[in-house]
This record gives sequence, structure tokens and C-alpha cells, in this order.
Amino acid sequence: MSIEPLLDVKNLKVYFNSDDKPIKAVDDVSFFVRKGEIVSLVGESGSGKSISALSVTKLAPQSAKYLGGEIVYDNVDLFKLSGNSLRKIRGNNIGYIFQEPMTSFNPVLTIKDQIQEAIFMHNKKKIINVDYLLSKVQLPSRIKNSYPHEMSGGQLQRCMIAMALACSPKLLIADEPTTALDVTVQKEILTLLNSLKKTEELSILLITHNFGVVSEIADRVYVMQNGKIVESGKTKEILCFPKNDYTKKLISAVPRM
Amino acid sequence: MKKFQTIGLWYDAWRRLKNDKVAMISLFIVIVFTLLAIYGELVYQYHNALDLTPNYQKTNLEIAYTSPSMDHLMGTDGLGRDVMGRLVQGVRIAYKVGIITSLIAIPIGVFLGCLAGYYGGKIDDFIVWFYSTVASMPGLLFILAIAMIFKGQGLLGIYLGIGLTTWVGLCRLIRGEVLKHKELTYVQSAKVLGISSSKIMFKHILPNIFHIIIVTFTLRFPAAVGTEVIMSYLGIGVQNQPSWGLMIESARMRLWQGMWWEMTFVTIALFLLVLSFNLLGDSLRDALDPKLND
Repeated sequence: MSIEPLLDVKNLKVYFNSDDKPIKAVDDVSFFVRKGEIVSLVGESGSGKSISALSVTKLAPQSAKYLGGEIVYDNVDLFKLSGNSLRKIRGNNIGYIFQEPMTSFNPVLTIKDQIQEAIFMHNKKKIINVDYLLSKVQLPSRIKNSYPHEMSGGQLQRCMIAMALACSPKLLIADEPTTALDVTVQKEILTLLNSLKKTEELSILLITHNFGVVSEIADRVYVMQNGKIVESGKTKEILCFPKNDYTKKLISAVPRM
Repeated sequence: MKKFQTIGLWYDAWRRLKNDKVAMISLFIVIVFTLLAIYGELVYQYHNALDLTPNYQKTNLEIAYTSPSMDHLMGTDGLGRDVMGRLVQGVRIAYKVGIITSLIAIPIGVFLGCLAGYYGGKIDDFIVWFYSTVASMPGLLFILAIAMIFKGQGLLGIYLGIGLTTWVGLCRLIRGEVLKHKELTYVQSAKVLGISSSKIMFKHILPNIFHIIIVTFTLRFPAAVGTEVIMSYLGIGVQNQPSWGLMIESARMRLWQGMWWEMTFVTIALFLLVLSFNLLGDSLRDALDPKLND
């Protein structure tokens, strides 16, 4: 694991305009992700964790205002890039996976079409081996001609990971990747992400509200509340010795056997 | 386990359509009308090329107003012309009007609707202003004005008149649907893959709202035929060619004298065409929707 951060977010501020005063969705947040590291942003709904993650490639909703901060990816400040150069970074250098695999696929295109399109967009000449990508996420190659509605949530989440990895990005941003799945499938997806981290030398920014997920795979944790980071550190330290009350509450909320 | 054996969207749609009796009957009627239209076009082109007067244009006052018989299955009109021959020519003109005006109106509506819905902001403002302006002009007068400009150039005036004025409804629908779809997760996940806006609009969103275009086509097709009828009646539509509008107009005057055949057959033809197009469009919409799993 190198010391150099791959993604370095400094003093990010994202506000939403409302009638009287702006809503501070993300208020002066800084975090970083090193190469080959899984970093987790933890917090309840509305704590600004998803907006922080989407803001990395300026994908927050149109009403969001970026009021300051720097997002340095591989020594490039993403905030200073034009729309078109940002588009080249999305998918190619930074992959995303979302919470709802069932709705994240275009219902009228086959899995193969959707995986291929990402690659065509970024690299026109490359020979595309969809079978190989699917085998990386442990899916049989015969499913490539299926439509999304013919598959289960777990299969779709694997497809989504395959799609995100199609252009071999160095950073994967996973926005609650297991929330919509049942528990046994959650475990499989987390194991898959962990093994991909090793085989692909992938950095993962994992967004979740569940400390159970964090304890499974994350190396470091940032705890967010009301748009601010309230506590950060190594996963083990935070789990064993939480200092902040909110962190304690989140940890105690994990159901125990 | 038939889960992984899907062959394609269109194959799937056809499989569902085959089990739908109403759809198959409608499809059959539409195919019959289509063949009649092609036959009518061939007859028309043949006589045009050889500079002959086709049978359906030959007047013979001695046999005017004969009721249906073996010689004239649908009788003759006031100038002794065969109603069936003219009816087939009417199919040809109805098809031409329906298809060509759709080819003008649908691309305009879809393109502007996609742009307005997807980009929003100033582009949206401009397009909404533009179609509101077009919509605020009385439709028929607008059509007549355009048709007047191209008067004497055959059907061109009708095509442009109807085509350039009837895209507003579709444009509104498409804009609304694109507004809805662009917030959905699948569009978001296409965006995070770095897919360009034009591809998201036309490859991702458009196929998802394609059923709207199909339904609109089936609804505006008979509407365009109807407008052509009105224009022909007003004297700036079809001239010297047997359109259904002209036939209905001339038959109307004789109906009370007991000459029922011309009006009846033309009306039945129009009725069947409109009904079968609507029913087929409805079934197609269901069949083409991949979210409706059977």
C-alpha cells in the first residue's frame, strides 16, 4: 500500500439553495483514498455521504452548488476540468456502483450492450471480452444476452461491478452497494469487492450506513453527520474505541446474533 | 430454466403479439390495407407512365348510380366511375398522407422534445416558447396557410401543412417523459460511465419511451387522413384524384336519394383502417414494453 493518496478531497462544500437559507449538504469535508485501500464513509440518511461521493465527478443534482474545495485525483484537480474532460474521467478512471441494481440498468438493453457501451465510449479500438469481465465477477458468460428484468438483484449487482470495471478504473465508488440485497448476497458482494481490491489493485470508496459492512472490508472509516466529518481513523480503532457519541450510536445499531 | 434464453426484444414482442387475437386480426387488416395501397400505387404509376386514363377515372354517364352488382361490386358514382377502384386509390392517398406527414412531424417532435427535456434551462425555455407559439395558432388555418403556399403542387401542400403543424402534442409528451426518465437511476448509471449526452438521450432514454411514439403514430395516422378529408372538402386538398374525403363529400349529397353504397363502403374502409391501427398500436405498446414480464 503506497502512502500517496489516489483521491484527495479537501474542504469540499456543496450547498443546496432553498427559500430562506442554503442547505449545507456537504460542509467543509476532507478525506482521501490511497491506492489499493478501501475507505468507508459512514452516516445516516441525509448526512451528505452520497452527495460527497457523487460530487467527486460533479454528478450531484443540478440544483447543487459547488462552493469550494479541491478534488485531486491522480494529481489532477477535477473541479477545474471542463464538462467533456470530466466525462472522459467518469467510467474510465472512476467507476461507480449504486444502491439499487434493479433500477440501475436500462431495461431495454441487454447486459452485453450496456457493458460494451462503456468501453466503446472510452476506447474505440480495444477488443472487448465481455465473457472475461463477467468471469471476474463470477458470473457465467451465458447471461450476457439477458435483459435486466430476467436477473436477480445479486446477479445485477455483479453485472454492475463488471460494468464499472470495464475500463479498468483505479477507483471504484460504491454507493451503498449492498443495501438493497438480502444478507447472504450482501456477504458475497462484499467478498467479491475485497478480492477485486487485491487482484485489480483497486481503491474503493465505500458509502454505507451500516457498520456491519464497514467492519467486514474497510481499512479506514470516516463518520459523517449533518454534512460534516465527526470522526475518522482506522476501522479497528473506531470499532473498538469510538470517541464520538454519534459513532457509538451507529455501532450499537448493528444487529447482533 | 428458460431464464437465459431470450433472443431479443423484437422477438419477445412478436411472441407476445402472436398470442393476442385482437392484435393479429388488426395486423391482418393493416396488412390488407397496405397491400391495397401498394397495388393502388402500382396502378397509378402504370397509367401515369403510359399517359392513359385509368379505369377509376373514366366517366360513363349511362351507368351513373348503379347499385352494387357483379360488374361493379361496390356500385358506381354520379359520373359512372367504379367505386371500388376509387376506394383502392383512396387507400393509396390515405397511406401517403398518414406516413409522409408522420415522417415529417414525428422526428421534429421527438428531437425537440428530447433536447428540451434533457438539457432544461434556456434550451427548454426556448423550445417550450416555440411550440406554445405554434400551438396557439388555430390548427386548420395554419395548415390551410401552408397548403396555400404550395397550391398546385399536388399533395406536397398537404404533407407539409399537416406535417409541420401536428408535432406539438408529441413534443410535449416526449419532453415530459424525458424529464421523468433523466432522473432515473439507469440514466445516472449511464452518466457515471462517461456516456455522452446525445447517446444517453437517443440510445438510452429514447428506446424506453418508444411505445409513446408508436401509439402517437397510430393515433395521428387516422387523424391525418381526417384532416386530408377536410382539406379536400375545402378545395385545397387533393384534386383530380379519388381521395376518401372527396368521395365522402360527393356521396353525402346523394345519400338522401337512396345512393347508399359509395358512402357506406368508404366509411367502412375508413372505420376499419382507424380501428385496426388503434388496436394494433395498443397491443404493440404492451408487447414492446420489456418491463411487462409474462
